[in-house]
Formats: sequence, C-alpha cells, structure tokens
Amino acid sequence: MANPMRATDDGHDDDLIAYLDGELDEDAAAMVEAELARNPRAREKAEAYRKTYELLDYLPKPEPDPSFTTRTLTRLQPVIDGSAATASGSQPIALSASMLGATTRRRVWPELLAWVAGVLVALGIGYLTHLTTRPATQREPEPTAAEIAMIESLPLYVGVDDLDFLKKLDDSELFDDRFHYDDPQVGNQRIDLNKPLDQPTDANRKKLIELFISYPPARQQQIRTLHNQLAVAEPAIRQSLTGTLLRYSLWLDRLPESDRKEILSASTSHARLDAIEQVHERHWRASLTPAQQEKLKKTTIIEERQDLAQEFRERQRAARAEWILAQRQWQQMTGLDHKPWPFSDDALTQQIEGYLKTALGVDMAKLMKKELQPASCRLTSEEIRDLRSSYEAATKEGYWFSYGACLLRLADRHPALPRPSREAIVRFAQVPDDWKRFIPKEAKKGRLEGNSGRWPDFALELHRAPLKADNRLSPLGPTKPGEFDEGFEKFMKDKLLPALSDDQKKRLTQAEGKWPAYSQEALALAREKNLSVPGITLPGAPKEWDRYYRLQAVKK
Amino acid sequence: MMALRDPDIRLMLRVRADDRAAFAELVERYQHRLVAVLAHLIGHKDEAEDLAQEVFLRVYRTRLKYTPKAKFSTWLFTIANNLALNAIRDRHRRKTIPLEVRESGPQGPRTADAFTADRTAPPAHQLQQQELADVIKRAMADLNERQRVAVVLNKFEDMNYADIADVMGLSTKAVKSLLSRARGKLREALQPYIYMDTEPPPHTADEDDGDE
Repeated sequence: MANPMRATDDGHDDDLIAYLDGELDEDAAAMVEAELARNPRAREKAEAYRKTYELLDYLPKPEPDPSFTTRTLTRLQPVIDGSAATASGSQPIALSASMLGATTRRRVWPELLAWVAGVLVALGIGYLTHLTTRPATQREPEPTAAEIAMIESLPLYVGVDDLDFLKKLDDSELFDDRFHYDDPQVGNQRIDLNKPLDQPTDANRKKLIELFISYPPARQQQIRTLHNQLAVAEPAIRQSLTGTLLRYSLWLDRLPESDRKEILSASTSHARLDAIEQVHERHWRASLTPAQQEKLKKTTIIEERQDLAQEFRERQRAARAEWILAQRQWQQMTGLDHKPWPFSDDALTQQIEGYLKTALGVDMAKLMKKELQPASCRLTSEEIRDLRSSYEAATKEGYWFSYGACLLRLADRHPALPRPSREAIVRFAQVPDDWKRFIPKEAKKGRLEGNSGRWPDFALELHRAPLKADNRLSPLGPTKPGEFDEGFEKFMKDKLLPALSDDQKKRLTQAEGKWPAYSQEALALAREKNLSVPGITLPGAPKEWDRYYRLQAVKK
Repeated sequence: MMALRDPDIRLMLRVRADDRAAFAELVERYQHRLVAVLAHLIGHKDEAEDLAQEVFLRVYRTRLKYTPKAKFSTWLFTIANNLALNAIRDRHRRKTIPLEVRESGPQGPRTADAFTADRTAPPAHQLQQQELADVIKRAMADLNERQRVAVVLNKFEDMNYADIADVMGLSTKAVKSLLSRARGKLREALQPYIYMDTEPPPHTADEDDGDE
C-alpha cells in the first residue's frame, strides 16, 4: 500500500493538503489519518500547513468604498446603451436617473422646475441680491402675454447672469459640444433650440411666473435682456450659446444641492464662472476612481502622465456617450415644435418621402391609408406596420427619434442599388437567356417569385443562384458609367467622381464589368465620402444619420 | 431546482431580464467578497475596486449567457479570474504598478533572494502585525498567478476543489496539485512565523523531514 504521507513524485503533499481541506473520500482520508496517528513528524507537518494557512488571515481584507455601488451603476449606463465608452472610462458627470431612464417629457419638467423653485427659496437673500435696486416688496406688474414665452425658458436662465457671462461660459469650453463629437465642424449643430423647453403644464407655468415675479426687477430685466439678445443673435452664435446654455443648465440640474448653491450664490458673474470651473474640476476628479486620483497626484513621471492622458481621453469618450443620451432624452421631451435632424430641415424631410418611394417602393399616401402591401414595395408587412406606427408617433407625438431610427433600420435592411438606363430585370420574362438555366424548378422558385417586381431584389436573388460566380454570364445590372439611369449618372459625374482620389477611382475601375460589385463599390465610396445618393440612400449625410440614429457609430 | 433555492440565482435571472434594481442588489451583495478576493489576487486595493467594477459590468454585459446551472458565485468568480489574470498580464507588460508591499519601494515586488535574508534571521517575537502582514503578502506575491487564484478562492471564499476547478477551467485533480504546490510554498515562506505568538513545538528547528 502506498504511503499516503509520502509526497507525490515531484515532492508535494497533495493528499495531506486535500485531507486538511476535507476533499478526500473516506478511504483516502482513513489512510491519511492512520499515517498521522502513527507518525509525529507527519502531524507536525500537517500542523505547519494548517498554521501557515491560518496566517493568511492576517492579510488586510479591504472593504470597497461606500460609493462603490453608485459608481458601478453609473458606469453601467453606457453598457446598457451598447456604447463604446464602457470598457474603462469613468463618468465625469453622472446623469441623474431620470435623465437616463425611460424619462418622458412629463417627468423631466417638474424635476427641473423643482430645483429652480427650491434654489430661490434657499437663496432668497444670497443669490443675485447685488442686483436689487429697490426693495423686494415692490413688485413689477404681472408679466405680459409676450413675456410668458420667455418665462417658460426660465429654467435655462436661472444660473446665468447675462449674455456676457454666457459668452464667457461658451468660451470656457467647459460645456462645449465639440468635446463630445468627433467632427468639430458639426459638433455644435446638434442642438437647435429656438424653443428649447417643452410647454409646461398650466400649474408649472403659474409657478414659473410667480418665480419670475419674485425676482428683483433688475434681475427680471437682466433675464429679459438676455432672452431678447439670444433671440436676435446671429444664428451661428445663437446655436453655440443655446447649446452651452442647455448643457450648462442640465449639468447644474444634476449637481448636488451644495455645489449648485456654491455656483448660484457667487456674488459676481466672474466669481460664478470661477465656481463653475472649480465644481466642474472637482466633479471630474471625484468621478475618477481612487486609483486614478492617486495617479493624478503623481504626474511627475512621464509614464504616469501618459496614463493620465489616456484616462483623460477615456473620460471624454464617456462624456460623449452621456451627452448623446442626454440630448436624445432632451429631444424626445421637447415636443412637436422641435424636431431633430433631418426632420428639422423641410427640404430633407421631403426628400425622405422621395427616398421611400424610389428606394423602398413605399408610397406614403398608401402607407397611411393602410393600403400598402408587401407585394407593391420592398418591405415585409411587419416592416410596413413598423414604419407606419413610428411615422405616426413622430408626427402626432413628437417621437422623431424613433422614426429616424426606423428609417435607418429599413435602409440598412434593404439597401437599394442604382437602376440601369435600360429596363431593370425584375421578373422572369426579363431574365437573359444565359441565366434562364438558373431559374429553379417550380418548387424552389418561391424566393425569386416573391421578389418579382422588385429592384434590385429579384436580380440579386437570381445572381445568387449559380453555385459559383461565372464571369461569362451577362451582368444583371449596370456595370460601368454610361449604363446607369440618369439620376445616378449625374451623381457619379457631379458628386462622386470629383471627390475620389486616384486610388479610390482605381477601386471603382477594377469593379467594372461586374454586377452588383460595381454598384456596391460606388455606393461604398459614396459612403466613405459622406455623400447621400439621391433615390438610393437616405437623404442627408450618412454620418449625420449615424450620429443621430446609430449609437455604435460614435465609437472609434 | 437550484434556482428556487438560491436567492442569488433568482437575482441573476432578474438581471438577465434587464431588471436594474436586481443588478444593483447583486452589486451591493457581492462587492465585499469580490473586492477582497481581487485585492488578494492583485495586491492593490484601489486597482481591485476598479477591476471589481469591470467584473460587474461584464456580468451585466454577458447576462444573457448566464444559465442557472452553476452557482452564481462560481460564475462571478470565473469572470473575476479572467479579468484579474488579464490585468496582471497587462501590468507585467506595462510594468507600472508593483504589488503594494511596504518595503518593496518603487522597484516592485521584492525578490525571493531578499526574502531569504529575513528567513534565515528568526523573526523576533515583537514583530508587529503590519510587518507580519507584509511578510504574508510577499509570500502570496511569490506564488504564481494560478496558485494564488486557487489559494484565494480556497482560503477566502471557502470554495471546494470542484468549484475552483470550474472557475479556473481546470480538472479537480489539477486544482488539488496546484493547491498542494501553493501551500508547500507558503509553508516554506511562512513557517518561521507560525509560532510567533505561542511557544514553538519541540521539533521546530528540524521540522522538515526527509520527505522533501
């Protein structure tokens, strides 16, 4: 019988340890026990194993930071939205739960309002009293109807002194959209806020009016002036300022009470800007993990500074993802009058209708009358329902984002291809002779038949029929310039070809003679050049569609 | 069904169904164990916290892959193990943060050679608890990664060999041998310290018999 206490071949006490861990079966355990009973050295050794293991209890057992759960949940949001920023970025500014969740405009409004009112109570004496020019008991008369519209935007103005302050805030880039997007050219175009806030309920409007009236007259005048100056500002400037205004007030809204107080109670606008900067910085630092904060303290070593830069970038990525969420929420809650791109642009909106018709075969009039059938367009009946309901939700309830997302979804699922100048092949009678042998027997004809009448689906389906590509077969669609319909020829000549580099032109030339390869290459190049192809792809720059309606496209 | 008995599995099934409150509860419930285990594995508390967050996020991201076949904790620690090993490897590559050992200084974990000096000089009885903790940390740091994982799960999570095997993707037999080696090493490193607080037994000086 093997001596169980003898070490294994390479000198280890597997059985003894397993015995101590209670992992041996009865027989093996009995053998170890017998040996322990017989041999005092074995007992000593067992004791040493046990004791040394016990020593591990001296190791400090770290407890997570009390904020651990909160921090983890904050980092969860980008995960939920499938964004890229999840892996490592910490969150500089946590969006409040109501901004992140399935918030409707009905819920956000009272929240914004709550602190606006609360702040004024809390800061009744401190905030902006330096502006008081006469005793607060002397009230201005009731605001005129024309002023109501301005008062409805009050939540945006609460933390702002005047236009000069707002411009400085805008210059500070603390709330600059450009940090959140890849393309500085378009960063600030995201927010179009002629009418930034949703209509409040009557009760809330009343509260806002009361609030406004409670301001010292000088402050009232200041807000009026700011509102009017913004209204007449140059569009580009207004765009930038209102964007900053919105982001700043949302940020302010999410701050803890004490921080908000620090900002709002600053005695001059200059001090307020300082306070904003400090709170901003503080929140960024606090949002870093303890490890990151530690690194930040010792930035003298180059490597660590690089680490820091890396963290900074991650922070910005996280911030970018957050803003997208915030803005989507915002745009969902701002009602019918405010439409997101491209619906904010009447010309583009009309082109969308044209696109639906030519690329997807969808007649909007028929769609809305519930007369559209899968047989007469490229959509399934489910997709038809989807399109109709999201169009209705957009036009009737302001859910433009879901409509936009629906359009992008359909465009992705049913890419169109440019038509030939001659007749497009869409039914059996048009199939070229050399392809006839690939028409499946009756029983398997279903898919092809189902696509009968549809371009390019019918031809694509037929193209798939041969087991392997055969270059001797005649192409089923246009394969070089001169063979496309007028619209696409014009697009190629005027837009696409001039934009291409020599390499890109070469790519295109190499695909000549092949269908659908040539068309697909042309469309891929158009996409690379951020060009919309009339009647083939969604109207408006492809990158804009991605930016607004496809979260993944934001990640790098 | 295991799922009916184990509240964590029920919780995880709710997480799988996108219940965020359940996820918060899960984080609340497991953070202490997870941070402790990761801190033991990578030797640095703050890094352990960061990593623990990653683990929870990974849990959320892969929630749909969870099936209530295994204990939830086994699944959790499987993820933790993978991420911890990756982190350790990354660290080796970047050579940035050493295991936090007080005397080690900026050069990183002290070498086994340096340790020999300590061992040959019998530890004084008045060795402070902090110093003892450092000695133990060092002994742990000197284990290889897999040995350390096995020890930490066995010792601090009280996991049996089969569960450790699941977490580490090994056979039970391999775990047995891994733990045996690890504990052999630990005994070698820590033996001089085990009788610090009590009278040493008579044979201490010549404890190692001819078996090794």
